Amino acid sequence: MKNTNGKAPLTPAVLHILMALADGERHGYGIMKQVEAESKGRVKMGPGTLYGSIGRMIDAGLIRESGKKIDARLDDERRVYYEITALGQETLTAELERFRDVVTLAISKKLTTGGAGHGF
Amino acid sequence: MASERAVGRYRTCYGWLLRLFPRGFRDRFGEGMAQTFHDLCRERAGNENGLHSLALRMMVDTAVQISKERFREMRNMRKGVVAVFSVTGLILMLPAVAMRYSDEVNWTGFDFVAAATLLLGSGLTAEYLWRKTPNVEYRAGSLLAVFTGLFVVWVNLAVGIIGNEDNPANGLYFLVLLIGVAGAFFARLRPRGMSVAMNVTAVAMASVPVIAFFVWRPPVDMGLVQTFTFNSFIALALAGSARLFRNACSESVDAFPSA
Repeated sequence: MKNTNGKAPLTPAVLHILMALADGERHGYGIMKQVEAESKGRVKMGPGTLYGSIGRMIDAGLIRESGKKIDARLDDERRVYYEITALGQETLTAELERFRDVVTLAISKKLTTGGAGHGF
Repeated sequence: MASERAVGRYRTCYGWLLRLFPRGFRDRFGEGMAQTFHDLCRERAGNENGLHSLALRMMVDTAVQISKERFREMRNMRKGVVAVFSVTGLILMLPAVAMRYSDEVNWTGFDFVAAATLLLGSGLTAEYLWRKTPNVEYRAGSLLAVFTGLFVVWVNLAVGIIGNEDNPANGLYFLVLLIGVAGAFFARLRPRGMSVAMNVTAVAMASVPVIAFFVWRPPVDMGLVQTFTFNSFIALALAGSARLFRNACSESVDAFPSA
């Protein structure tokens, strides 16, 4: 996975995990549910894909364990929470800008209306 | 109720499946994966058909990830092993090339085989210990211990530490290294035990010239000052390695799987 400054496209799993963590720390199951909700159920990751991606993203410095501990009475205190890093945020922004450029190009070529309806 | 039992059965099966991951990955994420799998199953506990298809889907997803992680592990291992063989080859090329231009370097076939065995043995051991944990101090302690051992054996075989290579007192150094290897074996490579093993080895190393002095008295051609200086240097290196292993103890025990 090449991630530096968004020079290479991110895999769908990595992109969705970064999106899920962009607005707060989450544990594995929380990330999974957030991705499912944000993609309206179109992206469903299994624990294998999720944790495989998490491992590579930690190694690449895109996310890290947050060290957040929650009240044991409310949930399992052993849960590990993850948060996005500055590099992760930068990579996500670069990736979204890349998407925006592609959409702008597609609109200029009249391949999509750029709004609701058909197209992307 | 039936669903609860099914969830329990699936959790057990999933636990077995997780055991197929490489140990490093399992130690890092196994618990989180098991927890996530349990959460997903509990969510579907009311719908038994949904539970079966979900469990199957999750297990297939995890099996695919296991094969990816195993492949990655093999690729990384191969890189390390290739590096060890390459460095060994490069080092052995030095005397081979030097022999063509100088009469002072005169290695026999046995010398090359012995050097290759030593370099490969210590290189592969260092590579194995390096991959064992990401802990920097454990890695540094391992490298220091392995390469100190290699240095002692190399010097001892080449010129002998006490006097010359024919001096029987030099055999004590191999006993000292055996103590270190046995200590590492009994410590199962865990940092606390490794720290003790390296400290014991350091003390044994420092004792070698003293023992040699009394056993082979009067020691012929012992070179007392040089021998004591050399031994102190080696003992310090081993004590440094022990210190690094001790610092690595603060890391979670789970980060150091047993051998």
